[in-house]
Amino acid sequence: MKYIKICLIIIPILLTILLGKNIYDYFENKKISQEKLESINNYDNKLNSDLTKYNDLNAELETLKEVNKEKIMEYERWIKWNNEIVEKMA
Amino acid sequence: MDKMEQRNSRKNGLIFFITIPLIIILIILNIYFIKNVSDLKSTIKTNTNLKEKKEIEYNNNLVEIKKTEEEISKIKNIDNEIINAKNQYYQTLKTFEDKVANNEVDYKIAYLTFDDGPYNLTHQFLEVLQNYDVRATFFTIGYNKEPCFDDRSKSCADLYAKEASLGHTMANHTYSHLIFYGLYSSTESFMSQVKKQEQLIKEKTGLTTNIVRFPGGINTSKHLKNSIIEQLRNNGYGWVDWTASNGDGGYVPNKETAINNLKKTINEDIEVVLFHDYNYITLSALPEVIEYLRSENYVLLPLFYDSRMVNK
Repeated sequence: MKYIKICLIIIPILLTILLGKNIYDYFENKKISQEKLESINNYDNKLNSDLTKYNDLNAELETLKEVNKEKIMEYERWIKWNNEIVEKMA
Repeated sequence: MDKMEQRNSRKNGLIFFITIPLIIILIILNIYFIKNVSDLKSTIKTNTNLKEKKEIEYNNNLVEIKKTEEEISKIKNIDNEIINAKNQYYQTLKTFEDKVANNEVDYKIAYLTFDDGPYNLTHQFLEVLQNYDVRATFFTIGYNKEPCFDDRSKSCADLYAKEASLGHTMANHTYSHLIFYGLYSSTESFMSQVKKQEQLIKEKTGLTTNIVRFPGGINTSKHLKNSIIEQLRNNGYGWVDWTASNGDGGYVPNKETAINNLKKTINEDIEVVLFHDYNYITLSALPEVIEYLRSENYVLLPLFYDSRMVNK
């Protein structure tokens, strides 16, 4: 009976300590989870903003490519001819 | 004694009554939080993966943006990029030419050159060269080009730009080419014709040329030779004659003769081949000439100022 009594006192104490640890873990993990979520949201926002920038840049690039089509082709031809000679020397 | 036992028994009952539910509640609470922590950990793991994915996506996006920005800047600067690419090409040609001259590669070089144009026939020369992916050198003159000398219903003025746009080297053969009408009467006369042609080429193509060929060849300039060469040098020009020809400046009866004439003159590792782009026989022989030279391991290239074949 004496041991049972001791157990009945020790078990709630241990359970309380364990509970304390679990509560601490809970809030700690919740904080981490929140941070991760914020970080994801940040990346999402950045990605959205970059996507807009990327789309704008691509549109500008396409326009420039269209306007300078002949010149780009000329540039590519010189590069191609150069590479042909470089290959012959390899 | 009984009372004492009764009191102990009541006390024990009370302890059981309080601690057992407390233990149960604590166990339930522990289970609740353990489960929640476990759920949170799993969420964190998922979110960490998601974050890493987003981070990679973000970085890839940044790389793409940088690439696009670089491409935009390159296109905005396309004129300079073309000049740089051209200069790089000519530098590569110089290295290649040196290797050929030093027998470091198994190739030879033939610089195909066309004198006296452009003519209306030049369109067809350009077509053959384009079909065979060959860049050549055009020693152009300006006299009698608008309308074309060989077809008065057409203008040959646009051909300068066409030749240049196809990657051929634009070179100077003087404006008039009038050997017997004062071209070689003095150094000044010769130089004024060079400059006049230079101006015409610049106007038609936007390019500055720096290679000259003497109409009739260097020896036609006779006693003015050294003086003209000095003036050319002072004005940044190099000059070039030829080492091989099919004889199309004179009478060539047919294609076979033209090809045989040329074959007889081809014997060096680096050849400058003279043609005239007004000559129908040369035009008809050109595909076979190109195939022959390639079969002999010649690489057909346009002339450039730093070439060892261009005298300075």
